[in-house]
Amino acid sequence: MDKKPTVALAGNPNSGKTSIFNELTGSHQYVGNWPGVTVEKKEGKFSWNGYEINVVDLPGTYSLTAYSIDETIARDFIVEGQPDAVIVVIDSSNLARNLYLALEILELGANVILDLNMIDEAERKGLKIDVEKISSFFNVPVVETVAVTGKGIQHLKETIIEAIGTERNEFKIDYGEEIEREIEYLSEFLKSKGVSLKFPLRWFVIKLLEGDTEIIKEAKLLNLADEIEEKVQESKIRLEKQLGSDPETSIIEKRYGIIEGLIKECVERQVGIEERLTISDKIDRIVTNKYLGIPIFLLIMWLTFQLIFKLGEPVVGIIELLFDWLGKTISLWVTSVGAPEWIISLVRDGIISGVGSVLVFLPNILLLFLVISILEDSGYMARAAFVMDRLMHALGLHGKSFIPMILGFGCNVPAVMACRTVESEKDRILTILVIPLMSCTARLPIYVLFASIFFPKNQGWIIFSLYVLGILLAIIVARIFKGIFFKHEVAPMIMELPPYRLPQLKGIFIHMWERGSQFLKKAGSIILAGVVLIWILASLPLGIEYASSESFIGRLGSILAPLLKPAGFGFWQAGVALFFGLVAKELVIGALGTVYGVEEAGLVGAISQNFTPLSAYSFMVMSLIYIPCIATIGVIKKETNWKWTGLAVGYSLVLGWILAVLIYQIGRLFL
Amino acid sequence: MIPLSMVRLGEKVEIVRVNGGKGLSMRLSAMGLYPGVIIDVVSDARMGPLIISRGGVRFALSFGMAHKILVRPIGGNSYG
Repeated sequence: MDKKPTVALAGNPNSGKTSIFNELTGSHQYVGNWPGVTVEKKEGKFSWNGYEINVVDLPGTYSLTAYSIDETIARDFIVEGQPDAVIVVIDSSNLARNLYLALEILELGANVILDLNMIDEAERKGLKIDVEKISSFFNVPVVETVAVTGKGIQHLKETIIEAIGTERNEFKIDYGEEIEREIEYLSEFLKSKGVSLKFPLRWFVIKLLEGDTEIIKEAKLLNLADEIEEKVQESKIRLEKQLGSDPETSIIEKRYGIIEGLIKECVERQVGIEERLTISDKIDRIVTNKYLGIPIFLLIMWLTFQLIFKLGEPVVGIIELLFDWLGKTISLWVTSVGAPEWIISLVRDGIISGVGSVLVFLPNILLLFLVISILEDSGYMARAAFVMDRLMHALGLHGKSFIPMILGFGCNVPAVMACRTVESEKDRILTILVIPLMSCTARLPIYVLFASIFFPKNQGWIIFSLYVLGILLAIIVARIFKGIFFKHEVAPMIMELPPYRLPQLKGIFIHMWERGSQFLKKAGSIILAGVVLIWILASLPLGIEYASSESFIGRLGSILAPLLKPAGFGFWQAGVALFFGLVAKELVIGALGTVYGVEEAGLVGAISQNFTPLSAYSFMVMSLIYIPCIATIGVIKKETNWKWTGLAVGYSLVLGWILAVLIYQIGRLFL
Repeated sequence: MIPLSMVRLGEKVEIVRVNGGKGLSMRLSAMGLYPGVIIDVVSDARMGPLIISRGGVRFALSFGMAHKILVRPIGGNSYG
């Protein structure tokens, strides 16, 4: 084989596709973007029997009709990426719906392997599946797996190797006399005109009859577009007369008819078991209860922040000691080799105290990502969206918007991307606009540091209050923007509630490591660069005292300081910190570390001298709101346009300042 | 025929029609919810979102969505 074979993983959301991907590729995976869009593209590879196979994880979809960008991506990759095989991961306990996607992929002419995943759950439900029959019906290999335990993965790998290079018969669904006649008619017409397509002709025609918007757009690009449209319209009208319903419904009914027939043949069901209340139901009775739902959600959030803090603290302490030691050792060493004073200062004041002051929060950040993946993988996240739907709805947001908002606690960038699951364009933009108000992990170090200095007894509460403040503001801002820009009904919501599952350690750790390593990379690149820049600006012009108000950075900060005075932190160091926080919010602390690092009392001492508990709180609020970081601004631009991006930046600057000032000024009356 | 939003907890119904455009009905079809399918109402927060079950698979629907799905009750205790 001259080129490395590539296989694609397709499947419904909640089919265990990600677990299969993790089991197949282990740690050999990397995350990128699909070309032109910001949807995450996961790739990995595995070796087996001397073969090396690339695996591409397609977005989870219910079908291949282009309702969403995810489905278009999956479809285009199967057609244009020409994978050597497509593994369709199927939730065996939910065959009908999962086979629908498999059927569509088969129709697309792919070399399919069916992976009946979660076969243990199907057995527990009392389903007995005849694998042989399914395999011969579709004429494709079928493998049974339990991704959580790794069962069947070897067999899957073997099957993949065997399947690569095998020619498959074309898979055809008989849509019945009337529809087939029109498919034939349109195909002949396109053929006679010599139209060349990237999609299989038959499939293209079926999609035209189904009224697939992307394919219709595709057809408009062909010459003879008008003629094609006319013919399709004729066919549709004929079919509607003959079948008594529109052709798209008939086509879907036909597909489900085939699947249901197959299931009757191949699945034996032990009666009665289905009727009992599952554990999921029992949990749902409580968790989604009308009165208990929201309090339970808040309790989980509160526990999360307690956990992040209490568990993180000891490790943070250790890392702090490590950096202290490192700083001393390295400056001793640099001095001993006779390096000039400025290098010593760069290493000690710039790099170690700047980057170090950010890196110490790695444990808190990892813990937060840990909790988010547990909430996602266990199935609770979907319930949270359900519980919040009514409240969100009343406030003019879509229930589904809630999940990207929670993801925003991890990092705003993927959260903005995750808004793609919100189908309506207006709801989506509205959600994107308020995502920056979600406290991401980059802001966590600011809270942790200030709360531990000024509110040592109530750290958990203080941090919790900032997260809640973010949510409240998001809701209020959304309400206002909706009134101004989006006077429309919120699109109705429907989403699948996956059964509760015990989160899988491997998946969680892979996820945590992915995010954690991104943070480390960020610390090694943009934060390091920012810190060095701050150090340079703090050292120049020549001859001044390092990090004094005469330095370039001191002058820059002094310009901003008067603006910040009403909020209680009108000194140049705070101005500098906030200014560089635009690049990455971690730099707020990084900058403070760099400019305060030289002082006798260190960063903590300098902060406790310059801030009061009240101004510390207003500073935290300011840091929460005042501007999205550059990466977030970039992704908002990508997902929307300059107008909305400008709005996101503008409103947050104004809101952040007003709120910080209000808190400080009103607080002063009481304290 | 009644909208799904009017169905009470524990009732079993058959989907008859989806109002609200081709896009919506096709999306629901892809999720396995199309005319002829039998579903249970698992939770019916009044005027709030509800949970339905199709052969053990749970879906959460907002009230607005439930309003667009027309169903026919087929009795409470049978299983099909």
